[in-house]
Amino acid sequence: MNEILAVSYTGDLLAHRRCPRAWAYSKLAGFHPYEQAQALEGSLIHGTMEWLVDHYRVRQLHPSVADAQQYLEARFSILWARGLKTAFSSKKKTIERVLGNLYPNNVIRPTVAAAVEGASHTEYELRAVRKIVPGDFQGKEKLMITGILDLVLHQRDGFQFNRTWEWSDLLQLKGNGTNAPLSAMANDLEVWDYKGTKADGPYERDYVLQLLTYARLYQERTGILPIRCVLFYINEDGSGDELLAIPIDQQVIAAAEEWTVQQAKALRKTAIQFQIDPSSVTGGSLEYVDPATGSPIDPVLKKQCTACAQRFNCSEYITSLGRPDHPDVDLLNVGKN
Amino acid sequence: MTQAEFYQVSDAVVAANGRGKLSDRPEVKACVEVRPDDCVLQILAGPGSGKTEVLVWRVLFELFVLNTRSERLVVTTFTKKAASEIQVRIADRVETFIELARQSNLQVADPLIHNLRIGTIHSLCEQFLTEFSPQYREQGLSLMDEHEHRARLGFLAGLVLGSNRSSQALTRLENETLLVRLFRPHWKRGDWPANRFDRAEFAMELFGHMTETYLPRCGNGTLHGMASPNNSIDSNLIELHQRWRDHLESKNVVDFAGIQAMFLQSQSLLNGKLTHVFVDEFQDTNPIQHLLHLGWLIDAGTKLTVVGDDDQAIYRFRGSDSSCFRNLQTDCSSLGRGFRLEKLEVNHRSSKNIIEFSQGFRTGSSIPQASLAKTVISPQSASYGLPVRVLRGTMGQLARVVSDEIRAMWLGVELGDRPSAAVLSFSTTEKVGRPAHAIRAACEPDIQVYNPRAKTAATKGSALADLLGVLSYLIDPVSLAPVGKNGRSVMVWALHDQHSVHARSAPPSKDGKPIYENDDHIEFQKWFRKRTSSALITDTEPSKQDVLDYIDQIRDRLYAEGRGNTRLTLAGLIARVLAFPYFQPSGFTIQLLRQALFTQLLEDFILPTRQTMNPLDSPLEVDKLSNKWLWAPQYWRFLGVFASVLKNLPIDDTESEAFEEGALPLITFHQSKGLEFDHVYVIGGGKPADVRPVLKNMLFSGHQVPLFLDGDLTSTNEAGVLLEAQADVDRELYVAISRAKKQLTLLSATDDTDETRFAKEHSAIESIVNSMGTLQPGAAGNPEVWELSYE
Repeated sequence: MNEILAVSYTGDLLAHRRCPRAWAYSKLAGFHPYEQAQALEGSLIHGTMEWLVDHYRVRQLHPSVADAQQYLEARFSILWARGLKTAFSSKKKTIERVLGNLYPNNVIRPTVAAAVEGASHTEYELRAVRKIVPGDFQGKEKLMITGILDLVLHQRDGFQFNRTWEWSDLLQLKGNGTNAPLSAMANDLEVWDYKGTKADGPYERDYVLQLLTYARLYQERTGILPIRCVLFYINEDGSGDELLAIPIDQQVIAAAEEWTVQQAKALRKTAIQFQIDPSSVTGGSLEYVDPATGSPIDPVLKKQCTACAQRFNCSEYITSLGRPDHPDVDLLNVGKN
Repeated sequence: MTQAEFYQVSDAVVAANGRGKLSDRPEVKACVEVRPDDCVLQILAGPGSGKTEVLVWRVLFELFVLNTRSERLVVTTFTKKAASEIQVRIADRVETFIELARQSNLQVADPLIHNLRIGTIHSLCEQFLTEFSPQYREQGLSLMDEHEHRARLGFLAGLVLGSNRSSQALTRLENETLLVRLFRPHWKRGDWPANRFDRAEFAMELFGHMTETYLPRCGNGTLHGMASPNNSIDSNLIELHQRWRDHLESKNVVDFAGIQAMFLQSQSLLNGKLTHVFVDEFQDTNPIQHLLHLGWLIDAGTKLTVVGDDDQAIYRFRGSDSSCFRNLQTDCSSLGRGFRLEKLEVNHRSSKNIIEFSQGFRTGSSIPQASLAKTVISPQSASYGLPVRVLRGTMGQLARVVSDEIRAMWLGVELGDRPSAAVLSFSTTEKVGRPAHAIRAACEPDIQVYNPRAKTAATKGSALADLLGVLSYLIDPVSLAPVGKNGRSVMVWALHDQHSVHARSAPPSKDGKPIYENDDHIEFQKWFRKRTSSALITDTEPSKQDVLDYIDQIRDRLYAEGRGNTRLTLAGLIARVLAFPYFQPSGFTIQLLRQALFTQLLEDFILPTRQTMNPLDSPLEVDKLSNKWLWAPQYWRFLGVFASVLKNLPIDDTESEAFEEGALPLITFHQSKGLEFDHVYVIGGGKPADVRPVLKNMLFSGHQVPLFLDGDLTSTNEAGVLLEAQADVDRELYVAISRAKKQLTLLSATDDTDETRFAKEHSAIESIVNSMGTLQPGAAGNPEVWELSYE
């Protein structure tokens, strides 16, 4: 048996926290119908940001919107040929949407421009191995966490963040995004992560802890602790909510890492349970429980559940719908996939 | 960092991993240190000698001592799994290294190990071409895997390769006696190739040899051994190969062999970009890979380190040639490049008894005559451990012994505390009567067996076969039609009556020709629907009838909604069927999920049908004409492809680590390569020697092929060929027995059936038993046991 438990931060830990059942069927049994649809837009955004950074490095200027569109169209075709599909109705709409986020009004978004100009690394891959107690992890002796830091940057001229993460209970690692401003100084080292969701969603805390863990791994690898982490909600408009600054200190990154190890432990437990009895793994967010219905399906997850192939016998989802004969779980409804 | 500081930290790292110091072992240091005059280092590493660990430390030496930038280092391995293991091992060692170095106040920079280029040779070729060849990037090629390759050849062979064209090049090759003798699998009787899959396998192998052996060894010269009475093999093969490559290029795809050939053409683009290339499992290199690795040496600044053991070269049947390993020194001399050979001969894996037994086997086998000279020894501190056992009995008796022993070791013991164990066999197909079937029957249900090569996924009664039966019913429901006046009826389906029913049951294509692939799917529908093989098609088990009733309702609803008003896709319907009560109790078990990994399988095999403008992920629509359901062509094609695949190919379960845990691995000798277990049970001595892989290699290397037909078997009088063929079998068994750490048990079946032919004892083992074994008579009904102890 392989002694190492290898987990990807986004593909495993965050997906598992969102819904252990969907994660297990996807990861362990190969049912992954809707993930690829989501992956295309994310891949487009990540690929384009990388291209923007490379372009700026070589020419010291940003590409025009026409060049960006041309790049996106070529990139889209490659991804499509590789089997990544779009959740939206057409190639045109998908490209328009991504381009609109990066180049609103046909001009590069100031936030994007600042990130690109200050970038020292894009797609910085992190891979760290931790010793774990085999008794807690069903025989596994080591945990390997992999993740990709979207951007490592040094602020060029200073920057004002409109939203900042504040801890309300550091012991429980609870907190939330506030409208408190935060000033970044020139040369501040930051690690950024792009998110395709809207700001302030139900998973913001997970994203914060993910990025803090990345900061810890980055420090371990380079010996340098970044000044702050930044979440960049790429689908927000440019009103200032798209960036969330997260201050860093040693205590908080160590706590975030420990939290991550605990998530890996829960994931391992689900994997073992699934192997013994797949249908016993329940659906729904690990943290969210609707007080009204007792359902662990939060509103964001619910949108994904409606496209999940495993929903027809997912009791948590059926409960969240309020009635078992809901059209979404009606086996005879041919008006829906 | 100085070399002394490196060893100071590395000794602490390996100690933290429970291993002996590097600096205490001169033979290891000689392999780890990259010396100023190193150009090519060949490490001959026996089983259990820690070759991967040594390779990892040599990479770390480059990073920490020589400060080589990580993107200038390349590590190639034989499989994705091995590549992933090396990545993990490097990440683990580097992390501990940095931590311990900093504790010792030694300054180390981040070696940026994510920039190391680690992968299989195919993935690296693609990566390099993407990064350094603008022409390749502009082409936008994608690399196809073996499944897609097979599917493309299977379904396009006629169209592209000319089995139904005027030139008929493939058909002519299929009629060449020499090729039939060399390529027809020994289990295929009668006419061969008999169907599109035989043809696809044949073409795949031919093209693989053409690219991987013929091109590097013969260039554009002739295949001397192929001279036939009409002298047509050369020209047909070359024409066919070119046509296939043109086809792939037109579809913007490239196969595994082709990507290597493309890279070879562009390898000079990397001059000055790489410092050191490391090759693991070098004994399994094929000629084009060998040429490619020698190609690194054209750049004077690039070093090459290869690790391997020609005693463990077991992939000749795939085109590997261990002479590449054996002749490396000569090749380096021809190129005028420096060469150093180091040996790792201490086996840290196995007990002394196992090592002495395996070396006794090696000595008595053909291996020493066909391999480089070497010895394998135990560390001085090693203990003899448990005796090696040889058990003789019927396969059923042997399977019971294995299952009883595994139960005693595992039941009631936490997963992490169980000793590891595995059953290894040359073939693990679980056909009734086969050894693998006996092992599963004896172990389950309390011991789960993990056998990804079971080849049972598509057999009658499997969930996958049932699912195809249901989909066949959806698209082409078999009905009963009255015949004559005495109440007799016959089964009718779309293809049943080519001229009348067929024409009415589905729309013809534009040119008026039928759009069906075949009616293979009907057999699966019958399996699913008929209560017994002699029952009427309408006589169905109630639980299955519920599924069929549901399908009827779905079909009716799709029709009632009309075109453009539905959103349910085929994949969506499959998900619903699997949630249905018939599938659920048996269905959402590990067995179904393993088989239901067919989502991947389906993706691979239906890919060629994606060339249509009507992909399968569009909503299902159905029409009706005179009581016949009318489906769009892509659904008929899907049924044809899916059924052909299930009917003609013995399908493996998809390998998934998820179901491996807590289960007893029942794996092939080849699958066991690179693994180790506390307890190993080896079934039999493997297959009989087969000269054909050796002869194929000779043929595509441009040599005359001395063969004759001995009954159905292809044979030869050439002593060298016979020796190599026997050594291939011996090496497979040597790999299997050297996987054991604490106890090795050899199972020798005394049943004399065709099904147990691979479970017979190897002659070299028989002679060890006869010379020094101690017989312990078995109790009534139990196998006889030989215990072989060297104490």
